[in-house]
Amino acid sequence: MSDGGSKTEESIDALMQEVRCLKLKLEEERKKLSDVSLSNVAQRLENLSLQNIKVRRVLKGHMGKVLCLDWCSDKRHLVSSSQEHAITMPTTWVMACAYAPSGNMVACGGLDNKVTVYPLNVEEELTGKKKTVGVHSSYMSCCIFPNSDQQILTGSGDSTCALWDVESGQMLQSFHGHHGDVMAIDLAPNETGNTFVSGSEDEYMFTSIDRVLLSVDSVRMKSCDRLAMIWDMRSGGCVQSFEGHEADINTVRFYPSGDAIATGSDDATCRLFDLRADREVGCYTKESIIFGVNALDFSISGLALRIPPATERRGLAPDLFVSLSVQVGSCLRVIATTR
Amino acid sequence: MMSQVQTMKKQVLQLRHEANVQRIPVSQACEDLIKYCCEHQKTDVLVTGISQSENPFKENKACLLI
Repeated sequence: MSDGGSKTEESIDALMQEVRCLKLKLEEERKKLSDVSLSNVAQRLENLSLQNIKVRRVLKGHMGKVLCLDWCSDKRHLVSSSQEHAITMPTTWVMACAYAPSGNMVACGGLDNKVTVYPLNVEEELTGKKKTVGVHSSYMSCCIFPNSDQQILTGSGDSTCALWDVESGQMLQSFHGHHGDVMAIDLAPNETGNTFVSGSEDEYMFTSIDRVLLSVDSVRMKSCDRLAMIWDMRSGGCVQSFEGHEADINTVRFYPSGDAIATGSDDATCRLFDLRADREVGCYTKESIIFGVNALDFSISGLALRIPPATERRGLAPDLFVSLSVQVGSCLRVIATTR
Repeated sequence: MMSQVQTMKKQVLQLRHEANVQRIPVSQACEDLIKYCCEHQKTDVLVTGISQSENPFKENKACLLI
């Protein structure tokens, strides 16, 4: 082995060592400030009795599973996308869609790897006016308009997120750091609006060198740290990352105050991570819930965390509407089971 | 090999950055989360419900013809 080779080996060794030290330090620091648990603090609160939820309208039209929907700011229109082959859409699976803040256009994309915008205020056929804004090297799993019609933020199976300029189609910023498919993104609600969170299927790769058995060959160890990352939109850098989930993260949402994020995962749990305490403060499970969580959202006050049904994918009756509610910090229960 | 070193270096930088994050005690964070909930609970339709007069989806009463 040449000198160069052994040097690399040494430096990798040193780097490995530092990674281990830093991880331990991080863990210790986080532990030090963990003086109480959220569920203990929340015990003094009264138990919630949430309102019954009824189905008021059934919107029919899709032929396949609906994968995504978004509200227009006028609160009267919805955009939805599904895994059928729609005439106006270029691909079979449209995994994500988003309404522009002005309500004048929608963006969508999916297995075509692209994010495409459709203006809504034209009389002619939509397809003629559509415009491809950005292209990823793998499927586009999520998209969102941050604050204005001029930009789109996307997450992709190529492990990156990207910020695009709608007009020019230029990539303004890319976000590297995930090691697996990015499945969900959400914007911070704060007025500054310069951070967002992404959740992914990261399987962190650790490279270790076993000097006894293999001289320079690397051994890859998979420890499945499924990460949620907080990003700075201006610098493109990752500000914080949270691990804890035992399976892929499917969905992320900011707490309405912006101080925390909630994640939903294939491990059938939802977790609450506080940004300022820099750690997990809540984990929500229920024995009877064995399916992955595909979507969740907070109520306006942040008091209830709503998890829509995640059962269809596993072949359960899709018309059996089960909605769950979690009182942050205490328990989880079914509040409405309506057919 | 080189790219591995670079990836590791990047990871180290990221971890250093994360280790230097300012943190607050969990107790304080929890208090703030709960405070936000309590302050906004009154306007939360999922908690307080929606009055029939404001509900755009309210069911119309059926007419009775005698």
